[in-house]
Amino acid sequence: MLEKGKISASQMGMMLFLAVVASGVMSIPGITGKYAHNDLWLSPIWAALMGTVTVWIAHRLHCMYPEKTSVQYSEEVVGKVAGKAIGFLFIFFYLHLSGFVVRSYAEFIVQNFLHKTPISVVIITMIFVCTWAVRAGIEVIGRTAQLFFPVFLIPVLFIPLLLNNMKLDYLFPMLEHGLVPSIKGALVPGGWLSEMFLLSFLLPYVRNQEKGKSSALYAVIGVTLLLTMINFFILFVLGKQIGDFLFPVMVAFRYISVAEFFENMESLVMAIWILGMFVKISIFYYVTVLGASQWFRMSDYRSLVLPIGFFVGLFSFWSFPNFNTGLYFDIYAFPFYGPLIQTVLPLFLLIIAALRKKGQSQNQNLTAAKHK
Amino acid sequence: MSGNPRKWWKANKGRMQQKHVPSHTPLEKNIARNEEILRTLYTNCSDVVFRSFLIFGTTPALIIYIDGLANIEEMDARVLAPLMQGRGNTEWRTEDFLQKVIPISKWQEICSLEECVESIASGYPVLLIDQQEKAISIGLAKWEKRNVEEPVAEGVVRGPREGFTESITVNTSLLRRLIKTPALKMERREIGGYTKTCIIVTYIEGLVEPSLVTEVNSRLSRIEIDGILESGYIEELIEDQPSSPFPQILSTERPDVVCGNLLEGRIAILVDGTPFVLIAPTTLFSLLQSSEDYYQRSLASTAIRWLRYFFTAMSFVLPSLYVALITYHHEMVPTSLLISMASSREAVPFPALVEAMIMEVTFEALREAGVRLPKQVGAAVNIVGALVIGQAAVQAGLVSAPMVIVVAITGIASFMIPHYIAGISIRLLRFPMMLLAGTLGLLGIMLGVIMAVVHLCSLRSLGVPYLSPVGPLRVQELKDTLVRAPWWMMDTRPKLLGEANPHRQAPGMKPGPSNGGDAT
Amino acid sequence: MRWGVVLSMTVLAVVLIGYEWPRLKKQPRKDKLVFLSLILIAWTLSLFDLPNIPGPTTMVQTLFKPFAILLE
Repeated sequence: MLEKGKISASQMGMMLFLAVVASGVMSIPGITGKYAHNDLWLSPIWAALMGTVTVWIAHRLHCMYPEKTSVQYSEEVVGKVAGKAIGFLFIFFYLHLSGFVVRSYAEFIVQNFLHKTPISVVIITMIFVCTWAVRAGIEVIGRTAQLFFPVFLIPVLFIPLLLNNMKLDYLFPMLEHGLVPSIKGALVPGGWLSEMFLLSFLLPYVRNQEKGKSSALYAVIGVTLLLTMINFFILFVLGKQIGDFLFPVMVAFRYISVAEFFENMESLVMAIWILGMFVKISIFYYVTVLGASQWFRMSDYRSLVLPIGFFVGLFSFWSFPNFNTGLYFDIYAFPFYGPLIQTVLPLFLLIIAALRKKGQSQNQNLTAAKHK
Repeated sequence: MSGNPRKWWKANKGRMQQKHVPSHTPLEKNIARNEEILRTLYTNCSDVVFRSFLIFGTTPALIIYIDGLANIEEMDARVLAPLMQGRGNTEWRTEDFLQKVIPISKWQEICSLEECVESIASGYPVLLIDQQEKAISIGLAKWEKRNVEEPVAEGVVRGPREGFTESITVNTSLLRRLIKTPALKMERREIGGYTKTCIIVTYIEGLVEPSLVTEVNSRLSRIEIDGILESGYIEELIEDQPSSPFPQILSTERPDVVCGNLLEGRIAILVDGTPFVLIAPTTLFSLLQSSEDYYQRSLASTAIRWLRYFFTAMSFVLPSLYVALITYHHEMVPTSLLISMASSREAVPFPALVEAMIMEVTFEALREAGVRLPKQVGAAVNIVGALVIGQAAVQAGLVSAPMVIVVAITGIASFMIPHYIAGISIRLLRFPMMLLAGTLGLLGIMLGVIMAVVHLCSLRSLGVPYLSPVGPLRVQELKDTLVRAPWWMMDTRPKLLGEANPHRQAPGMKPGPSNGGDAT
Repeated sequence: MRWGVVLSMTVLAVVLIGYEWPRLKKQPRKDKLVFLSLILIAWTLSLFDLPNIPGPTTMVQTLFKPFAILLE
């Protein structure tokens, strides 16, 4: 085993939750709102299906090949050459995504808060901090996720402060154009929820295996609940114009003003959001490093942390040349790309693995019969 | 003696041992020969006294002791008097005759020169007798020591007033008085090539995880050093992560703190010559707990703990938060407050970061000067300090009034940490935080916080995670971290490593009218 | 301007190697090889004008263009 640390199932659940929701909570509602309009609260529930299916697939595969990550077992499932190719695809996918996530984090910070800071500084500092965490191993990432998880949920407590800005009327007319808009709006969060496949890299290191699946499902439920709640909240505050905003959550939080003292909470929200993004980036970064070191059959994954960090930095410029391309990718490519790599490809692996196992047991039965 | 000290030690190790510690040289029969060897060893040692006399006027004998370490009055009355004034017969050569004549309880027969030297150095006079191959170490050590006093650095309002002293025997007796079970073990060893400092590892058998004791012992036996003058030496030589700013081993002057920790299955290390006892494994939260938390009412303790956590966080981020708000995030400050802050900053010539740095460094300087200065000059420092960090500085237009408030709050906050040493490390960290805040604003602060948290999460003290029971989470133990649960609820012991005896007390001890209370 | 980037990337690569080498020394030969070649590849990549040449995102976008119509 390359990684000697162990995490608990609940830590894994919190890691998955933050990995999916940290970036999602800012960008998903706006995109969903664009398609689903006032039915946007329904979309995360459709998207949860994608998350559940992905968790189920990853867990089934894990049960067949315990103590192995998807990079390792794909070689066993489809043979050495094809397996290496699939493994490379996984690693490249997560490397690409790490770079992409770092860049979208940096874009968000620069656009909303530090207008004059060069984006490369924001990127490099974040990668530096994540490098530190990834070098420390999965145990430390798990513990930080656990510590930041309750902090990340603090902004939810601010929502009641906006009660007098909310109008329940915005909810109606419900399902004006049928279910289609809400399903269309679910495509983007669905892509995000397919990131639950990170599970396949974390499960081998979970101490209490028997709780692994349920805590991953709790993570899916948590993500769905949070997204639904946030969607309701911004719908009630902003009404039909949700689709016009890139980051409606930040806009909604700007409305907060209690006694003319608790104002402009968005800086606080941003500060807390950085914690979540840190966990998300560290997990993606870590998975890339772990996958790559397993792919190369290294003796220690820590040797790869710095080179991969270098790559993540480069990819943050290469895979995200400017804000519009990034947004386009988020809306038009990732909802298909993400599930393809993280749900469909594993499903394909699962089917082959199941067929193989069946063939094997039949063979065994046959040989056993012959011996009789 | 120049060059690499370690190499020097290695090269001279053999020679030094021959010169200073005659390793397992048996004593000779001839007393004159023994005396000669010991006198060469103690050449130019004016404090070592050799007193020759005749037992019953016939047999030559010699008593050796260090002036000031031995109890001379007792020795004269109980050793020399009976031996010199007694009537001569040959009976005294039998084994237990001397024990009959000399009425002293602490009595040890020693056979080698090495033991002789050790005994003399520890203050026990050594009696050598002609035609005998063994000497007698007489337990009459006595030297000047400080009385048991209230510890200065860890005051409490409610709780025992005793503190450890510099003498290790007094310290062990203080512990033994509180924990009377024979399961309280004290393993003794000596460390230090020259100082031969006595180190005692103490723990309660059955409560401590045996692997922890083995680990501590193996770490201690790795130490090869000239001298141990304070437990800080040991601390730095056995901790898990030497480059971390956070102390991974707790040091305390209070016997009740040590006993409380022993009862939780930890290990204490006593070092002769210092009142500071080390406790390991330690977590961040035990650094933030005072012994008084356990003696006060639980509700009050919980509130005080939260206050402490809050101000610890404040002492870490408050100055940097101020810098970030002033420099980058005006919108976060309510308008009216912003206006008053801006008007007070109008005359200040420095940017906020420089202003904060100057003030914080000045504060640290004043604090350090206050600790080092003789008491008589202390008042002067106080007055000057109040002028520097205060009204005069503000009126001179050098700093703004809000900055003074921030520095004052930070200073007070950092002194809320019950363990002074831990307070220093957290205070130090605020300087890099201020730099981060001055360059990247709130983002910099968050990055600094993340780095600190990642570092804390990766720290371990003797293998126990430094942030436990919060990260990794152990819900059971939050009762003594987030809150201070009343004693009748603290049924389980914290789980450090392994689970040696998890039960602390009988369950269901909640007092009440029907349960032990006044049921009238 | 470009020269500044090249220089800083070279410095970065050297610093990374210098930082990791003492630990890497004890590792098997293969680990060193992978480490060095990855750094080399990354350094080479950094010489290109990355934001303005087609990257993985462009590739994925062209790949999924037919599906994008669903969301138009």
